[in-house]
This record gives sequence, C-alpha cells and structure tokens, in this order.
Amino acid sequence: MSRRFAIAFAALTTMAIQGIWTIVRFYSDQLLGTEYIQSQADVQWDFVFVTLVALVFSGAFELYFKQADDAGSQEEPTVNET
Amino acid sequence: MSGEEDDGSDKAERLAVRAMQAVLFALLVYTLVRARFGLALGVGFGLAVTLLPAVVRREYGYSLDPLLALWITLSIFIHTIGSLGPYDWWGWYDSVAHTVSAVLIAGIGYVILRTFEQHSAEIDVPGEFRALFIVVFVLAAGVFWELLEFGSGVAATLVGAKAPLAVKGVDDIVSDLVFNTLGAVILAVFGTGYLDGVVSFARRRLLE
Repeated sequence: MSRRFAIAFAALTTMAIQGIWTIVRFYSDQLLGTEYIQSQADVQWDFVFVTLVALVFSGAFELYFKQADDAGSQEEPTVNET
Repeated sequence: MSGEEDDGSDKAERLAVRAMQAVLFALLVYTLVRARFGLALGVGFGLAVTLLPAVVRREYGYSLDPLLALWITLSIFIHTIGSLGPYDWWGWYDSVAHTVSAVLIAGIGYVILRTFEQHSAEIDVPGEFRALFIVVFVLAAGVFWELLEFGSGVAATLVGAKAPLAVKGVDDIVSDLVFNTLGAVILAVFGTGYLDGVVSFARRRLLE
C-alpha cells in the first residue's frame, strides 16, 4: 500500500468511525435510554473536530514518513547532490 | 454491462434521462420568468450536471454506461424537485434522496480506488477491502457533507440569511448517515460492474 493511500485511508476511516459512533449514540439514546447526545450542535461540533483531527494528523504523518524515509524510498529516491 | 443485446433498456434509460432534463429545463425557464433567481441558480446548476455525460461523450468520445448516466440525472432530479417542497412535505423523501445520491458518491469512491489501484504497483487491494473502502468513503463523505451543512448554516446566520441547507435535528443527521450507508452497500453489492469502463477511462485521461 502506498504511503499517501494509507494516510488518506486513515483520515477517511477516522471520519467514518465518527459517523458510525454518531449513529450508535443516537440509537443507544433512543432504545437504551442513555443520554449521549445532548444537542444537535454537539454532534456538529464533533464532526468539525474529527475532520480537523483527521486532516492535521494526515499532514503530520505525511511529514513524519517523509522524514523517516530520509534514506530514500521507492517513491522518492535519494539523489546524491554532491 | 451495457451489452448490445440489451438495447431496449438502454433506449429506455436514455429516454428517461431526456425526460428528466426536459422537466428541469422547463423548471429553469419558469423560475427565470417568475424572477426566482435563487431557485433558478439551483435548477440551472443541476441541469448543467446532468449534461456532463454528453459533454464527456463530445469531448473525449467516451460514452458512459446509460444506467450510470441515468443515475446521475436521477439523483440531481430528485434533489432539485425536492428543494421545491417535497423535502419539507414528506420525511421519507430526504431518505430516498440520500440513498440515491450516496450510490453515486460510492461510485466516485470506487472509481478513485480502482484508478489508483490499477495505476500504482504499490496499491493492490483484495475484493473485500474494496467493499469496505466504499462504505468508509461514503461514511466519511457523509460526515463531510454534514459539516458543509453546518458551515453553511453558520455562514448564513452570520450574514443574516436563511440557511440554504437546513438541518432539522439530530435524527435528521443520523438518518442521513444511515441511508448514505445503505446507498454505499447497494453500490458495493450491485453496482461496481457498471463502473469498470469509467475506471479505465479515468486512468487513460488522468494518469497517463
């Protein structure tokens, strides 16, 4: 799996799990009498933060992998510049 | 899957596309005549999207599967008609609209995945993962869509306008997400065969 694809998939999964978690919380409130969801704004702000986290961490991972790959990789072979 | 042996249904699908475009066009003229420019903008944009398959055929000589073209037009049509009232009249209408358009979003996710997969030697995914990817892609797109609705609501409040994409409570959000997922599953189970032509087209156009 290529690095970029792995990172993008991780970001998508992060957001998807928030979607599932919202569905689960809602039906748990309905059927089991829990009180996970207090308001619509809560749910929407959760979406905002999760999306931000997904984006920021993807960027961080991209940078990290780039650094870790300093010795050169298939995608970006190290060219001796001297 | 658009074999020559299936000409009859292809013809019916093309006819249905034309019929929906005609209705949208009539609607566009009507909204312009009545000076409802906000509505006209939405209708005009929708109509333009339904013309995309024809543009692709003209510019690149590639014909989309008629069922795919029909599906694009159908989801635009359902949404445009819905914004004239049915979204507010019937609760189930929103669910239908989300399911139909989620099939399309799922198709976009599938085409992206397969295009990269065929392009890059490093990406090689088994069939079951493709289905998982489609569902994950659609769920993430759903969360992103709710984000846009939220953002548009906040922005509209700031400038003192009526929110263009109304969110009617947590149950609305959750049912959107559930029916998005249903659309993703429908595509993953039945629809991927219709998209392989688009995948090789996308690979040729974009990556080579």
